[in-house]
Amino acid sequence: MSPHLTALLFLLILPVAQLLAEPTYRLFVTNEAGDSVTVIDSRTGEVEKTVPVGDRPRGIGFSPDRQLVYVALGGENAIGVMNAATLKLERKVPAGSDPEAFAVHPDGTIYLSNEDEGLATALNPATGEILAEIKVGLEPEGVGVSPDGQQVLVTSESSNMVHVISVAQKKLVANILVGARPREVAFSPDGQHFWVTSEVAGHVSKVDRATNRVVTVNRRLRREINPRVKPKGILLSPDSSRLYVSMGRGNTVAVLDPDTLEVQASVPTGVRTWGLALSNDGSRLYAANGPDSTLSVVDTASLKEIATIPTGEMPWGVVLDD
Amino acid sequence: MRPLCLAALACIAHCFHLSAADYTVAYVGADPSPALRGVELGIAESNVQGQFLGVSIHLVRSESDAIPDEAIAVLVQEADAVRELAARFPDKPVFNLSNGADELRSACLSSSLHVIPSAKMKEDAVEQWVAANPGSRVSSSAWHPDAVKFAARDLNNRFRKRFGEPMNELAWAGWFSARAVGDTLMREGDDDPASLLRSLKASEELDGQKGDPHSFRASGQLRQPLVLVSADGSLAGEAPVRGAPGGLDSLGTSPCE
Repeated sequence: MSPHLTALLFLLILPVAQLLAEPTYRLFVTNEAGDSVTVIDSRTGEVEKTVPVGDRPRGIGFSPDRQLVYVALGGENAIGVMNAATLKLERKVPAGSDPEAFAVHPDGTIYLSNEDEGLATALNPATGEILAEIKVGLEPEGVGVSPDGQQVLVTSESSNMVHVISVAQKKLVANILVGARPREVAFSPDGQHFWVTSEVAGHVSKVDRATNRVVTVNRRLRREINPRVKPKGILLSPDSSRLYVSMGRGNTVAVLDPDTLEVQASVPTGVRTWGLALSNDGSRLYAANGPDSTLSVVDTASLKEIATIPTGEMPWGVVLDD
Repeated sequence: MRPLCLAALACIAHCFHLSAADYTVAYVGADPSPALRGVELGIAESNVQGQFLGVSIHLVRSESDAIPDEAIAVLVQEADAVRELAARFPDKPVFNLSNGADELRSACLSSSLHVIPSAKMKEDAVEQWVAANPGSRVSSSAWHPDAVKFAARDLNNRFRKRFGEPMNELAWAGWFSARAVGDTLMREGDDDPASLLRSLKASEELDGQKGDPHSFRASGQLRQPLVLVSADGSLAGEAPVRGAPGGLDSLGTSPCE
């Protein structure tokens, strides 16, 4: 991360950082079919609690101060709000139809995708106010906030696009065609690029944000890893040296070079690996395996799965409070 | 609808100063029919995509002897018309939505794109399933209205919401054809039917909302997974069965390949 950007981020985060409690070191996993969140102590790997949250939890994320865990409840048209310390589900905030995934802006606004309505919604979770509804393509899914907080990206799975939303204007400013069934995005810390997974195409693409053009694509993942790979989750390592990409029914997490997108390694995990989380120091990678109902723990130095932790039914997403 | 939402919709129409491109797709066959409803949904969904790119597609219903010259692709529900239209338009995509005859595949017609599975593909799917599940009584199909995996749920919901009826395989074939034309046009931005045909045949990543990417074989047959349907009409499973050698090509290849 460039020094000035680090400084900028620090300034943005400073007011809330002062309020930060000690991290809980908890992993929170949404169980899409179990209607629950599994809470795991990442230091011991023990399941601490399974919290019923409501119908069809998928997307999961923290409030900027990390005191709240938000859960998209697709079957209840709401965002569930859980207290990260007490693990109580405090309330459910109406979020438009079928919320699937979301990202939390540093200002606290939740940008979420409404899968069956083809909308992106900006929601103030404190007041429940819907700040904007922005028409996007069909089956919107992955949402990402740019490092400078000025843009939000939303993928539309059935329209094969990444939509670029201006945060200030709350409107679309660009639409980028990518490989079939785009699912998630990840940004470079300097904000110059983002990467996007295309599940059906089997691609990972790197996009230049100044021009909104795809600059590199790896179309060979099925040949190089296995024929069943369906790229879904994507995270950049803290030192920006690796992209971790969950491969769905390919049952692995691939490690790609962020510039060339060449495959550096492929780590076998469980069946249909989707949601990913990384520890702050980058040493541990966590991956949710849906039909296995497990969370894989990967040591990123040896690139080996070192543990599997049982979750609820059909785990979808995972976040870590460290 | 909230005012902000209306504003966003208006913006989509006016905020992007893109040069508009409009394409014509012809449909030949029965009206009403499930295939036509599928085509209508596919055209509408292509236009959802196209509104962000300044591209639109409109559908023309046509008799087989009166296809408008400007049609960039012909979608054919009338089973007996496929061979004749493919012969008449050797450089224009001619989608077969309903005719499963194996002879049409082994004829290796240059322009026909058989979206509906061949009889042989369906037989192979049943054979694989019964070998793995002895005693089963199943048939096979390109689609099932209760399918949920791989976002099949989303497509089934959109069809049911629009037409108030379940989506069958003819409707799926119509939808897929219209989406394949739309998505390929958006990517290629070329109004030449011959180059559209080449791009469709070259694509390895067409999305049928059935998981694996779909692509066209040399015979023009769409390479795709099928579903197995129990005697009572319920969804039994998918083919190829897991681990079938050859993957999607374990289902009904023809002599052209």
